[in-house]
Amino acid sequence: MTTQYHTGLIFEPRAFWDVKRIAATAEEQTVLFDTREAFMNGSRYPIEITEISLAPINYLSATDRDLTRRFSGQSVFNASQIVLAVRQRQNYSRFPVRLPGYSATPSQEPSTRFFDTASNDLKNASGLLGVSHKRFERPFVLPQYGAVEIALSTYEGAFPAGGFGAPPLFSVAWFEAGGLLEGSSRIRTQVPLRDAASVASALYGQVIPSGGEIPSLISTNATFPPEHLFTTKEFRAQSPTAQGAQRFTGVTVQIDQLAYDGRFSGGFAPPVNAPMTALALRTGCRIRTTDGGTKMDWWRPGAPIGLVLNTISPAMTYRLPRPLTLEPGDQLEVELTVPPTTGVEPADIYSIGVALNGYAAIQG
Amino acid sequence: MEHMKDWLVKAAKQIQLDGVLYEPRVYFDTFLVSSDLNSSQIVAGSPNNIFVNGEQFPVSLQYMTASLLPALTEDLPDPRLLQRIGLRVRYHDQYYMARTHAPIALWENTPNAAPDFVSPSTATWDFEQPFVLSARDSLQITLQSLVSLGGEMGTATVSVSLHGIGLLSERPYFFSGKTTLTDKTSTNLPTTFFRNDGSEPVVIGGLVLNVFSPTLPAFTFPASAITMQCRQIGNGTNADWVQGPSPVLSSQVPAVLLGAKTGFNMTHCLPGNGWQWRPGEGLEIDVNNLGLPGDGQEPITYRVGVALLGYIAVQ
Repeated sequence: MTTQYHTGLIFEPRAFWDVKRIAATAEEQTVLFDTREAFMNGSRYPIEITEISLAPINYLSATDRDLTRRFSGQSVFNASQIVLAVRQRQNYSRFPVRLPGYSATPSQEPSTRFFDTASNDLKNASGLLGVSHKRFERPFVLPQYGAVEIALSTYEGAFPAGGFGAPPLFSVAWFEAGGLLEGSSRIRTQVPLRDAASVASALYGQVIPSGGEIPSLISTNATFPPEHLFTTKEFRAQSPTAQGAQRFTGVTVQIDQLAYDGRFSGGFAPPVNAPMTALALRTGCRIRTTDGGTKMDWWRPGAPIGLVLNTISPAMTYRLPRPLTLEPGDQLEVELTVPPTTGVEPADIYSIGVALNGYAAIQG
Repeated sequence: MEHMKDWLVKAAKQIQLDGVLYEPRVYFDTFLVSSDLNSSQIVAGSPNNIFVNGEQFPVSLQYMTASLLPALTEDLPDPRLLQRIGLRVRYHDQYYMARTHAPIALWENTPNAAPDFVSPSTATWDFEQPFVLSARDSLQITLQSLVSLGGEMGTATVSVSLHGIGLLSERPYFFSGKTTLTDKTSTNLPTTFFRNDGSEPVVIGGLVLNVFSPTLPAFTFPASAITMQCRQIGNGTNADWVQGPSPVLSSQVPAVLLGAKTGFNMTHCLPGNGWQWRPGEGLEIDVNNLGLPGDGQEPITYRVGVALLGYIAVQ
């Protein structure tokens, strides 16, 4: 473990992440994010951690569905705490730190909550643009025939019991440098976002709180449906003029959930009387370099989009003043403390996600 | 505290174009996109391409912004429908971001959210290159509403603020003027609001436009419904800062498009060091419909504004 910057030949984004889902009890609970080796650098490259992203994961709305269960919305985030540590060597804080205590970097897109006119009321919309964007602060370079592949997962809870409608749509853009306009993008646009046919195939379990949601007509049991894949073939096909290595500057996933928000906030009873959660905090992603670079997954497949594409996202991100480098084999430990149940509703479920974001320094 | 000379040297290193003085510039156009168009029907910009440097000095551009504007019927559209309009830039048959139109929301690559209660009605633009407001100089700022006022929308009180520092004293300076618009008439803010009455030039670093409705306290008045034009009086080029599709909008830019730092729009930081236009250079922008809804009976025509923000380097 060091705090040194690494001088790599090339860099690739990386993240260590986990989501902890836990049933509330009458007592405060302290638990480990315990997915096996979730925070261990199992690769052969040193990985600089530059940011910590935190978010409530898989919640339907920002507060409560019916305003009787205090922590059944994302508001539990404010009452939770974590400790970052190197196991049996040092903690990075003496006491658990409230999640908002990790100083938030401005990373949100504009909210529609106060855009309130006579003709429309947007106070419960999830956001203006639905964007999760990652700016590559270290050069990510692919050789001429190199490619990178991104796939989105399904999400759980497509429709409130009562009716169907249009699915959310997602778009992806890879930003690259070069050309007459100093940049271009490879894009895949407006792909229907499929939902999980059953809770068993959903990455983060049932949406919280569940009000008897039903799957859509295009639901699937595949966690990463093939329709959600921006394939290597498509990626290469959009670079007819590229010669030599290409430098990539960022990636964006945008989810159009206008119809989805409308269904829950007004379409069917009981309406959700709170701002809807962005689907970027309910949908996972997988990115890997398929040719060139490390040919590895950038993170354990399934990371919530908003946690890892965090330059603009609904998650909260803290930027470390100096990077924390995990050498191969190094491991961190993250401990979560969640509040006791409010007592009003004993079935509260808490779900908090954490991601340590950074870059692998590839030194040849 | 950083010394003024150091600050100027640092600022100068970021300048892509050398000049003796700099002034902000905005190029914008509006596109009318009907919900009954299919995605292969491309909507071009105004005649006589707006996105061209028509002045005699080079221009450097850093940001592109876009937002839905009040329709010609004056209805305020759902601003999220920006996600259903595709956009691309063409320059010598090279496309940006891609040959396929990308949903405008997908262009967002710069965090630009102000606090929720400020965002829809405020646009903040920090100039990439500050300009100098010399002693006795002032600004001519013109404002107008795109929607009828006095009825359901109430009146609109618009304030424009500029902030900077004294070139010699390094003390902060704030200039601010406001007016209440009661109809769609174009209104000049008194130049006394912005006149530099001090004894030193002031380096102006940014501009904020805010609007609220004093008669309808529950509403945040959208900045997309107010337009602005500006030019410096005294030194500088004395030319309009905004180049737009005159006379449709009187060359005044919808204020929401000025919110490159914070605002209620899509803000895209241009790649590399931005785009530099020599005199006569420019590019074309077109859009398409990616699934805008009608009203169930008739198509709806949406108006989207796209702007490029930067500065001109007077040489």
